[in-house]
Amino acid sequence: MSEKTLEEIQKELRKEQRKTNIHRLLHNRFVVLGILIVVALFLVAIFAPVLSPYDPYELDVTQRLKAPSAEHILGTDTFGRDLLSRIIYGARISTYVGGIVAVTTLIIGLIIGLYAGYYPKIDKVSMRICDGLKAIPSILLAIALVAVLGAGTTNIIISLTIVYFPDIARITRSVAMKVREQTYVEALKASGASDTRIIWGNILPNVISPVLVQVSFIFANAVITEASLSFLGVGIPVPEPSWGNIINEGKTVIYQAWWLIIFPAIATALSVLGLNLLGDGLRDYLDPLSN
Amino acid sequence: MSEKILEVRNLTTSFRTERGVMKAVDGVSFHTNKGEILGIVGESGCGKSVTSQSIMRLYDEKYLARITGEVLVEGNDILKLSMKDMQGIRGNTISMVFQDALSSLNPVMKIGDQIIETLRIHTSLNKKQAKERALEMLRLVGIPGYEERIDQYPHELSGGMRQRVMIAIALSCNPKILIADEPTTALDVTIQAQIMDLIVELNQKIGMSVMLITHDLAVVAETCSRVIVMYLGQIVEEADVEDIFSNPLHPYTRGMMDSIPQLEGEKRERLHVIKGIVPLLSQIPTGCRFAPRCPYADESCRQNMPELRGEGTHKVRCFKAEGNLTEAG
Amino acid sequence: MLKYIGKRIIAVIPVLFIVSLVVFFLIHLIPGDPARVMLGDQALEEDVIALQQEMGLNDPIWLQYIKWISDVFRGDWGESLFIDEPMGTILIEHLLPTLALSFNALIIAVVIAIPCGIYAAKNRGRIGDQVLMGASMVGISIPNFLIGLLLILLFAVKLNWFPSSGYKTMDDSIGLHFKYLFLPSLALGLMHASLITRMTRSSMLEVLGSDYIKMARAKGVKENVILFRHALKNALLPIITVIGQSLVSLLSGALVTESVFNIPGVGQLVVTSINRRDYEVIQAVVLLIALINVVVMLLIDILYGFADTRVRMKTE
Repeated sequence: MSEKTLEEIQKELRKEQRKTNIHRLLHNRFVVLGILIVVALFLVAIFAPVLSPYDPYELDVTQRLKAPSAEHILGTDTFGRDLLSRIIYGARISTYVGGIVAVTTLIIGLIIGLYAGYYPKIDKVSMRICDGLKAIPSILLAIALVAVLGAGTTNIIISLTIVYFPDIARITRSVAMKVREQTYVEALKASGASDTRIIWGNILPNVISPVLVQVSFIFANAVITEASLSFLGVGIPVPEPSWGNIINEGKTVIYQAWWLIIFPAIATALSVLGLNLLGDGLRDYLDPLSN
Repeated sequence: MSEKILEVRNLTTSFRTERGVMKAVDGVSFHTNKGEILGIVGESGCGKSVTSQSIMRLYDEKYLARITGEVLVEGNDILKLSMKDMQGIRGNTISMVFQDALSSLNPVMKIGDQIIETLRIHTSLNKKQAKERALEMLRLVGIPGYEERIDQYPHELSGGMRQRVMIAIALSCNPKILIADEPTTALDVTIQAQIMDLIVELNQKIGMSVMLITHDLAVVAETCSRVIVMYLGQIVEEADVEDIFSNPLHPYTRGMMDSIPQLEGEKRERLHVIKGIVPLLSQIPTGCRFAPRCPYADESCRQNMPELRGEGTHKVRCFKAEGNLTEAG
Repeated sequence: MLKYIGKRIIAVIPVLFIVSLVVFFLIHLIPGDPARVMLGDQALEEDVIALQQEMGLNDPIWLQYIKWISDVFRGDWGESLFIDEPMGTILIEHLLPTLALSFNALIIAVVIAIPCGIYAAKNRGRIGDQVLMGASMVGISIPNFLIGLLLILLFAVKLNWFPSSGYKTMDDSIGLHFKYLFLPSLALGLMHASLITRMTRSSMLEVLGSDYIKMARAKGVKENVILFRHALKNALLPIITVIGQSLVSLLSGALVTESVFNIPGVGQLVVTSINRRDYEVIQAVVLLIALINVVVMLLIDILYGFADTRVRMKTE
């Protein structure tokens, strides 16, 4: 025990730190709740055809605006479609849009941020563009982009990517700039490592943690924004079921059919809550100093 | 024997943390005589700051810390006081000076107001009288141009000035005891000496007792009359200042003495360093706490905990040193 | 200080340039021929050609931009295909309800959030703090249009205390104005209350953990005085910054909330313009909101600069 080298002690300390981090992550009931919700959301999205009791597109005028009952657990909408089935399929749209946007913003933001953090010239131009895009409130920019591109899933994904990639680019860039200043990067340069190798081999690993945290929040924001756009009638076009457009339809019959608002509202809020809790937990775990 | 102004009996402070309960101070007993300067030394993490903040009861005792034992100030146990009564003691009977004056002064309050605030809490002075007293204190601690300085904010002063302001705040209500927690660590060497001189001068002038917490043995040698050495939440040696330098008994104390760079006398090849680092509180060894780092430790040291023992004023917590003690005594 | 302000203003110029580019290119993102899309399927060929001419769509793109931006500087922000009024009038008419909604929501948010944040910080880790943090997490997670609909269901449909939608100007009746605005403001305010509560809490916690609070305790200062005199004063600056920033996100949140409550603000203007393919109105609204946003952020920066010289110590 007395013969421990400093390195061994540091190693032990790091191990202990990691252990307490994982312990803390699982100890925090909120985070566990978040993980459970997100996993459930993905499962529902993947197994939507199996889980839905009815075809979400099947019209039945005789069953219009039926309150929740044994036959239709969450009731039916203005066209007599089963609400539960539509909400389950809506989970598909939400996770699809949120998930793809998370991936596209990650890729675009990471590339721009890494190169901006490494080359001051790229930095100047790209960060001005990000500042300019961020100067327009995200929901308004998303509305405007969808307005000119036209409604539809793909156009929503393109719009949300344009709206959210600057967040990733900025974080990546600020971490990349710090890493670039490190002595070991200077040493690598001196030893003849190529810029590409330094960027992807040495800077990228440092950037991953903070970016992953941000991505989980972007996922949540994309779900909110998609729901908002669909609610405003400029997002996912009917009859495709999205939580936003179900609620929009519910608003017109708000005095008769409360279930058309309450249930998709719970689905949306719960999903976003789960993603936010997960993001919070991820931040505590990956970046304990920030708390 | 001189009069005891502060007596700490069996003080234990434990914290509730995510990794379980940790004892930062474990059964510490000592006293401070009226008018003396008592030094408490040890590496960082040895519990010296926790001891002082436990005496002031600055921890959240409801949820974070559990403090047991007795802290007698002129015979009254202040650990038994309510928080409200404790507020009347702090800054009044016992004052404290912290390490970093830059962060310990409120950045958005004028320094004068920070002194006046203390006076208004503990005395019946009106605003005008309090301001006069504040000016007097600033003059006492040697701040040049104190008439203008009184209306300045902390960031407008130099580091040494800020430390003087903190001392002025601490002394404004004529405390009987001043706890100085590493008061010079954050300062330049020349300023350090000035601040220590000021503390000694005020100690003599006002006659208050000082508990000086430091890791700097040179400061102790110059200013203190008695010394307590702490290691991992326990006192390992206690002695008059002459004794501790002429005849250090505990291997830890000796180790610390050896790690002072020598300017004169015999030249050493290299600085002696105590092996290893202070273990985490969660990994406290079962026997003597210093055993894992001690060059003299044997099996018995690792199994059994030595008591703090000794005759007269010199006490030590070590099986190996006890023999020495009788020889020397 | 003047140098600082100048620097800030200069830093805003490239941002505005990018904003103008984005707004300009919006029209050009329309798939196909913008003129044909704008006029719809039944348009006569000569009308399309006339509109192409008028919009200058046949000019090189940089010339189109220069023409457009100089029009913008001259105050010509385009014209609506459907509303027979100058763009300025249209914008101001629709901006007033939006501003009224945002302002009321901000007041509600601040009144709820600051006490909650202070309380949570003071009782960190205890049951009250956990309840507030849980509630604010839920508040952040519910999109504000949903909060609006839930409030309508409860207070308009079920209890019938407030009207479910519509808007009355102050000129109509001050009482009605606030009665109609109450639910939308609450819906919008609750979400921002969640954000501001969290910021207040974390900035109070940072201050409460600082050495000067320990020093104040060591001086014998009472806990309540520490909380309000020593801690809050120091925590106020970051809190005010968050409030300023949330003013901007309030404005964009208001766009959606308006649709829920049928308030004739800029949000509704945008949505109806999308359905009518009235693209120049959309352009003008985006430009206006972005401008407001940039100006507010600039003001916050400058105010922060003023405040910071007094507490420069923190950054030194």
